[in-house]
Amino acid sequence: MKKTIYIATVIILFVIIWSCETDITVDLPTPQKKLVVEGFIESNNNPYVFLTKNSGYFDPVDSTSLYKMLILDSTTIPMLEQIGFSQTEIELFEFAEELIITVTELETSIIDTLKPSIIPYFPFFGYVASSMTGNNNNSYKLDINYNGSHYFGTTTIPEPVPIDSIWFTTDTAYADTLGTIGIRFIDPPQIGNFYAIHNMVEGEHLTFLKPYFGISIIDDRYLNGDTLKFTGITKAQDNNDFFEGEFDPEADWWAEGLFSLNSIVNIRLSTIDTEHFLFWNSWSRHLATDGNPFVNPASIMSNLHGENVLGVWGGYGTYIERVHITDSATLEILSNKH
Amino acid sequence: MKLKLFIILLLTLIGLSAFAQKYTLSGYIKDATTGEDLIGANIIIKEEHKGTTTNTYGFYSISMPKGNYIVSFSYIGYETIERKLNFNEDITLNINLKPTAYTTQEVVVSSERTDKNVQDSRMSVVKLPVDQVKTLPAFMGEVDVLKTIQLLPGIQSAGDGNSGFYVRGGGPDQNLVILDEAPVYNASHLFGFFSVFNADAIKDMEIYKGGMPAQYGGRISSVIDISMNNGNMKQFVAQGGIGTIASRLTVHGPIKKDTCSFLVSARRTYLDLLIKPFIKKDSPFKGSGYYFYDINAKFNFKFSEKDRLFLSGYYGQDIFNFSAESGTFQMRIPWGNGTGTIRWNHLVNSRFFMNTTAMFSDYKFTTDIGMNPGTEDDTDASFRFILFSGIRDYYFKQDYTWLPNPQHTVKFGAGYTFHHFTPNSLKAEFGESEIDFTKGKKLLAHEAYLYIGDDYIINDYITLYGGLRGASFFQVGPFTRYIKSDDMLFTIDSISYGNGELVADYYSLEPRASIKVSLGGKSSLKASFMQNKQFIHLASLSASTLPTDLWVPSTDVVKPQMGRQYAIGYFRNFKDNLYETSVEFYYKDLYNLIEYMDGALPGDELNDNSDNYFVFGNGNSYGAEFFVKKRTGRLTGWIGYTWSKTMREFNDIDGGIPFPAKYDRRHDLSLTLNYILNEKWTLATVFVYATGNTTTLPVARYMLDGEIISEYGYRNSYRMEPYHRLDLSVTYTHKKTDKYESVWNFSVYNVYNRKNPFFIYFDYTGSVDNGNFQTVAKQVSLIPVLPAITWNFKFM
Repeated sequence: MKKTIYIATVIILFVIIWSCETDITVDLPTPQKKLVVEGFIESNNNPYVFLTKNSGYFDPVDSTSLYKMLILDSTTIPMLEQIGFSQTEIELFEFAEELIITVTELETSIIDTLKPSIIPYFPFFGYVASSMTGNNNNSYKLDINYNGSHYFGTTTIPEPVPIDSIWFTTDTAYADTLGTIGIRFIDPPQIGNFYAIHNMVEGEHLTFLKPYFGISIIDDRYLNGDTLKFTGITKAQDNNDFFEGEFDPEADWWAEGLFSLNSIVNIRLSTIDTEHFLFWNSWSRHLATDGNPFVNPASIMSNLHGENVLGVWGGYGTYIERVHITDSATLEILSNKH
Repeated sequence: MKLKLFIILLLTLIGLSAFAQKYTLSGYIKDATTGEDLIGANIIIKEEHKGTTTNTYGFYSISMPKGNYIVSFSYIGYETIERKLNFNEDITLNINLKPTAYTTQEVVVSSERTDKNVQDSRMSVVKLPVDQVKTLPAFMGEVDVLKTIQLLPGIQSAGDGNSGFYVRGGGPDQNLVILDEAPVYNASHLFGFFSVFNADAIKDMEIYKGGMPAQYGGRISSVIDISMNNGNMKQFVAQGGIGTIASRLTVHGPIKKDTCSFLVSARRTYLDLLIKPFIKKDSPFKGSGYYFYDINAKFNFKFSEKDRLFLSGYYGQDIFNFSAESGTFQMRIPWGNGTGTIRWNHLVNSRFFMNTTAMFSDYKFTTDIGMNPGTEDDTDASFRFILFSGIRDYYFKQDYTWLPNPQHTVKFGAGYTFHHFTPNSLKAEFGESEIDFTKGKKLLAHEAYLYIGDDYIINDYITLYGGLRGASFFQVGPFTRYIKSDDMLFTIDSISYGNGELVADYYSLEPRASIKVSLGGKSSLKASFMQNKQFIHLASLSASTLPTDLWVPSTDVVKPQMGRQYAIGYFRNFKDNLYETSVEFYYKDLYNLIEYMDGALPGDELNDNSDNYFVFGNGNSYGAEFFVKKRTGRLTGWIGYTWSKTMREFNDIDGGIPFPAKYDRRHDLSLTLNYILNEKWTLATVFVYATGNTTTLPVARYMLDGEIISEYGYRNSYRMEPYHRLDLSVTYTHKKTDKYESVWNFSVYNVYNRKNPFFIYFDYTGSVDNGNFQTVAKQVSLIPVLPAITWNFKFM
């Protein structure tokens, strides 16, 4: 942060005085093809896996090319037609010759095979196990056999931690109609607990997503066994935003990330295991350093094994609190569940 | 044991050759008009083709068998003096050389021509009197000695906007930059656009790219030894310059004629003041600014024919201020160096010279950021944090030069340093509460060394240099070592060391050797070897050299850096030493280099040891350097070309695959020319060409959790466009009398407006939804064509 401010001001200084910019052509090598896995299993829910592949840095990005990044099983063709893809669009997809995805609950050795499924949010296709649900304090192994290669990873769903208290803080700049949420919870006595925060505004989001601004993960490195807080939680960032319009520098991006009065919000506090935390930790460091020409960008770790694989297989021990933001100072707790 | 044997052997060799009755000629060589010592002036016994040069204090000594000899005293840019001397007793002779008049004919005729580069046993050494630098084109008209040395083969600049320089593939921390014997840790202002050395205060510099003699150590790549002017011993002089962005003033003169003199030199930029009127009142940059200043001061006192005392100091700071529009957010970033030296020269006898030095050196970098919302009831939102890092050293050393006979020059000595490091320390205030991470952050270390070296002229053909340096380093408490879990997230244990308790110790035995074999009078072959250890390191979070880079000592975790260099070269002069040429080849291995871990952030080290976030690796470099120099005449200048390859290898970077260093450069060419048109006009030009720097760029991308993620290629696998640039300058001597000088300098930097790459970044246009989303690569260049005018004056 400090460094960023510092570098930013230095750059500003140079820009004012001397610097100039030119568009150039950069000749990058053809990248190694990699499988990108985004998989999770949470308390009392079915495991989900999304599979995509990487693309060249300068490859065009439009909805067609994004779908070309998806890895699909040929059994999905009817589903694609079902949600309105045309025949020519479907031809652009890559269909796996072999794709078997299984999740094994290690404590019970129960195995379930994940089947393609339509998901109501981007990227709209995923693989879901229908009979298995996540149990707290269990470990889960993901196996993917894709075109002759095997990829695997293991994750744990730690015991969830309940939210102790929750509050709403309004932003005076928006006449107290918009604001952020704060939560507090008691960290268990042993060190090495990791948390992630997600939320979902009813009527606006279809799933739990990470907040628009600020941190979404913390650990108990500095305050073990104490009361931990997530403050200034902003509204979930809708992945579909990606498709909406051009970047407008005049837009009030901060307001976009605030909760408004009268919304019903589901706040989810999850406990995650070390490897899973390290993934998100390196992820946020990557986003903080990516594109900064003065640092060597952080590489994102992965808890998956196999040749040329990226991504994560993560378990979430979830505690969800459903609240109604009634007025500028109060939150009405509607329900909560482990 | 090895050391003892070596010394005995050395003394025996010296003894063997000292059998004939000899007499010694010794003394000082000075500038006749100012009384300044002339460093590296030549003393040649004409009949024997033997000679010596003056040391850093202008002192020389040469012993010859009984007899009559013609001795010539010469120095570039000065008239040569010849004396017929009878060596039947020891002679003390102080010589005052007169500068050659500024007329073209005489420059051609009377400038010294020497074959020193061919005859000297040393190789990879360049001496650069500052006067030679002054007419070259300079960035914004500010003459810069560090910029000029980057035009020599084997010494690479990193391009615009980068303060480090790279000698034969070594890192920027591996150069020992010393100003009047005191090391300077960060030798640049404004991110490398200007060096901290004000050319008006500097007399001379000597650069060792390799074959470092044993008296130098502590850095593994190079030595830049800079001497400040002593101050005029004859009369008061005020000189200075008014330039486009900076002005400088130097005053020097005798306190007591020929006995005691002083010099004070100061410089400040006024970019901040110039820009102020152009910044609108409502601009977010109002209240922001940048400036630097520096002050050099020196006092020298000759309290007997045999004793001289020097006091010299440097202090300089860069200050960057930023304050937001509303005045609630403020940032102040000052950084700078300070050095101080006390030296006592004592001539024990005509063959024995002693120098005792005590000094300190200090480098500080501070970031002070404050936020004040202005409303009383909202103190929660106010914060201030001060990030501080620095290094402070105290030194004491003694150096001896013993000249037993003309065949031997023996130098030996010892020194001690107390290092005081402050890695990133943070103090923060949030409203009422305060967090202090500065406690226990200091790192203390002792460094001590002994050395001996002998330059031995075996015969007319072979000269040998042998040297040995023994160094030791002790990290001592108070110190706390934090032991981390494998994932680096938790401190699982810590070890505390008490006051003065030994944490880690390192020793180093450093052989240095070089040999010269004359091939007739005009050419020679030379070879050299050196091995060095370096106990301090510069850790850089960024890929370029910034003042934020952290100096850290070797600790129980960080091993000393080590370098080993082999070089051979062929030296030949043409046309009666009018042209100097050389070809040198080098190979260099580097060990225990440090880098921050991938993605390390400054916040990581706050409650921890900085070195827990380092990764370690090795490197090597090899290359060939070609150099042609025309020494005298109306047209002078040089061409240097270097072919080189520099690689690094870190187990934790790309899984140990070797990668090119950031400044790995296949081709590096520089040309400088200086042409004296007539008494009034001098023209000069500089051209540089260098293979582009390497950088790490993304090669692919993927989608994850709704974000587009960049996947980076191998470290430094992308090479940017080459760097090239042409500069021109015209110097017009408006008036030059015994009392007054007025000189105008017009220069143009980057004449053909080459857009040299500083960095590349990626920008996005359009939107995914509209199907016109595009990724564009943009290259940022810093300096366009930039003219500058400077008026230099001198009153005597």
